[in-house]
Amino acid sequence: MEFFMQQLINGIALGSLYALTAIGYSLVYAVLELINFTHGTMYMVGAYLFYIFVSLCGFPFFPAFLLAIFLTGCLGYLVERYTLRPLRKKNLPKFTALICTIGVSIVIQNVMLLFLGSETRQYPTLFDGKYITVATANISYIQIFVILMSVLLMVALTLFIRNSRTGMAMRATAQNCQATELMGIPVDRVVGLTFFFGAVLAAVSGIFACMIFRSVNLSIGVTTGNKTFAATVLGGIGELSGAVLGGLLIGIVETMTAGYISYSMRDIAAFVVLVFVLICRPCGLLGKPVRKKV
Amino acid sequence: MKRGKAMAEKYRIFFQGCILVALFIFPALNFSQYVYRICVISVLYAILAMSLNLISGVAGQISLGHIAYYGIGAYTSALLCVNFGVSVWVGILAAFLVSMAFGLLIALPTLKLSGGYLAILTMSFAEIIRLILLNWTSVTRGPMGILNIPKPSLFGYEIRSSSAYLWLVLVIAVLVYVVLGNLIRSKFGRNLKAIRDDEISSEAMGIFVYRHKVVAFVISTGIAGIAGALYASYMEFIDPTSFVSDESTVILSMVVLGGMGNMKGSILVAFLLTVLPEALRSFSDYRMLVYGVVLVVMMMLKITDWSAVKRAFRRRGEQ
Amino acid sequence: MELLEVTDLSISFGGLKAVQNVSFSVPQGKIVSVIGPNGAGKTTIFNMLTGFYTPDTGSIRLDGVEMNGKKAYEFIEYGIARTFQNIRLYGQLSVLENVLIGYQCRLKQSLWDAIFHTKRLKRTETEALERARKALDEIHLLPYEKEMCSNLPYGKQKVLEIARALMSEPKLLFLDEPAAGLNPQETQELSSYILELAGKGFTVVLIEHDLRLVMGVSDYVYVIDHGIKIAEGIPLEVQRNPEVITAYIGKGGERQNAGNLPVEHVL
Repeated sequence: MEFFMQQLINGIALGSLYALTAIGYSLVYAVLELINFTHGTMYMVGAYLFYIFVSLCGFPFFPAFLLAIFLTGCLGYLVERYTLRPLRKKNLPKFTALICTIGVSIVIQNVMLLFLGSETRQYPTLFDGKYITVATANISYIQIFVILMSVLLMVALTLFIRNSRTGMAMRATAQNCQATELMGIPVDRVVGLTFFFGAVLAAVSGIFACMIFRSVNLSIGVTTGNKTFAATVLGGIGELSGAVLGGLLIGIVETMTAGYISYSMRDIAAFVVLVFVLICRPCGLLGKPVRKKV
Repeated sequence: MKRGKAMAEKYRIFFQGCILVALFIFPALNFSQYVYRICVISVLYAILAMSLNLISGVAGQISLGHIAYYGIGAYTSALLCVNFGVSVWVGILAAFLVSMAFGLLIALPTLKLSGGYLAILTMSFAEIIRLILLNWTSVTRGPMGILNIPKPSLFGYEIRSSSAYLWLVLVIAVLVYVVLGNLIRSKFGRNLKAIRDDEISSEAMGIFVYRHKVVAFVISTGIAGIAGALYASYMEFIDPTSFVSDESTVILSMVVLGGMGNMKGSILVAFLLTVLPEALRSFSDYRMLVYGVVLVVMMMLKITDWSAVKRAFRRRGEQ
Repeated sequence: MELLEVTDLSISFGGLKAVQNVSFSVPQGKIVSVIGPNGAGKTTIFNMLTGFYTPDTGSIRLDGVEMNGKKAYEFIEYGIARTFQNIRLYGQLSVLENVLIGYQCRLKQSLWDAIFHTKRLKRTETEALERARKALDEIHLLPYEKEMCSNLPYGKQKVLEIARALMSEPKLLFLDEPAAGLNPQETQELSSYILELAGKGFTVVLIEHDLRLVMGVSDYVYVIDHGIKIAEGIPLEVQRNPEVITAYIGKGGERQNAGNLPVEHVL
């Protein structure tokens, strides 16, 4: 039981980070019906930028954090602006945009590889590994911090999407892109912003995750990208609450597998869950079945 | 006009015949074993590219984990040959069947959904397969790999040297080329192209979209399995590092650069992309980067099909 | 003999009742139109009749065979072919390939035939090619057979889409707004083409906005508004039906003696 509680808390901390990343997937999918392969890469880029600013340039934590997530957001925006937007205009088959995001993510990864090398690096962290003991479970300060920050961000984002003008424009674009354009809303700018926010969330989650694990390497983008995608589909792609639920579940399943079955199986667990979901309920736990638009 | 067409057809057959003869004379020409070795590897990549071309090029269903089926084929055949002493031919057949079975396992739940699902799920699946190969040490021996995989023999003669092996893989590549070419030119292939262009319209035209995709995917994975078995037996040693996910990207780049759906293009690019890193050592550092750029640029320039580019140039010439 | 019998067709999306208890029938060899203002549920009816939506209730009988519950891809084999409101040709495929795919449901080829390139495959392929070329010749597109479809002018694409549907040898042809986006001359050509089809014995169901086209070619007209059938009859009757005119121009139109207003003036 003690062990269970410990794993549960680890799972929630990890899951809340997955949830943050999953929201980004979901946002982009809702607006463009595109699975954005650069998303996992943004997670990695964000984590590395923070590392570069703090460990290599010696910036203080807070400005480095803001700068890292802002730059990653800009990168997300640029990717959309210069590769995906021209493709959207040409009305090409869907796989072109998909291949394009795959290509961009490979390019970014390999540029990083050329400059930084493939070795795993030690990551700066907060609170020096201090923890408190509640009942029998050890909760580190960083875990509490991460969970709180994630909840805060999710609430802020939900309020933003529900109440702000930009949020309304996003929801409108997700409903019907053409009609929104006709209503005089600059759809291109909305899509660009969606990519910006998606990348920012991925970067935040990447930085926090690396703080918890205290290490960073170039492959985190791909593995987290895949797991987060599993989380997104599990909750129901295009649904923000679904992304949160899916993220938490995948995080918990992963730590439980690591704890009770075997550590090396933990990356497989998310995938197995995903396949089961796809067989039983392809629209996800909170998703609604959609009719094809004819 | 009609006679001109018949002549052109004759030339085409003659030309293809020449290439075929040249291909099969080549291994007898006493080049160094190093040259033949690169040739064998390029032919194996060509088989992989041709097989991925069916599902990703012709049918437009992007798979990012093709290397997994290559790996499954390689391990199936290798384990059977080493542990149970079966003949390599049986191993190849088993590799074909087992890869197909795994292909079916992935295809059934994912191909009902939109295109991106397949891409990301095949990618995760490939990663899982690699992890299993790495961690299930009691069977796969993990990172130590499998040693002493036998080579096939024919009429009591063991196919040992690289040049002899080149003959073997060439025969199989030609077979794959013919079979896939026949498929693409038939109703089945046409329907796949239709699905790539517009699924809803295809449904209205009476195409059972889901089944077509599943069948194409399974054929494609089966052929990748054969290539894997050939690879295992050629190298005599396999370990999980040969089946990393970057390789899947390489194969996809071959299909995209060769022109989606164009088998000759896939083969040509497979050959180029295998020889180039060998010829230009400095290129190999930038290999993956170049592939990524290739994918983006091809899509940005809207080149999914070289023949369309050719036609566009011709039209410009006429004006 | 009624070729198509539709009874009590209903469907709702969430809480919205898009189509309610619509019944109609299409006799063999006639041209029947379904008209109605934007958002009346015409295309929804079409999508149910071609298997893309499954109706909540009701039955669709084609030649006595119940079609409700069959999958979209099965419809063409039973003899229902369709076109789309916004052309859905295969833009990246050649003109010839497009019509060939129209014939695919009649083409008896198995995978084995394809892999081993059997005699049956060669025979069926030549037969299909001949038919496709003949169909292209009829619409004067044979010289463009190798051209990529998206390079054709819009009007030609419309006709090609109909030709593709006809390749499946349908009993019943559904045309979803064939005149949308055509200029008056092209519309004229289209209506004579549709009449020509009826002359050849095809049964045609039209959904259309362009009432000139509808009134010119239809044998019988059904009017849908808010998902309910509000009128039916031969074109002349429908034109004078006050309810139809109200549906099209709203209540305000009644002030100016709408009953006698020719529909042409309304639009």
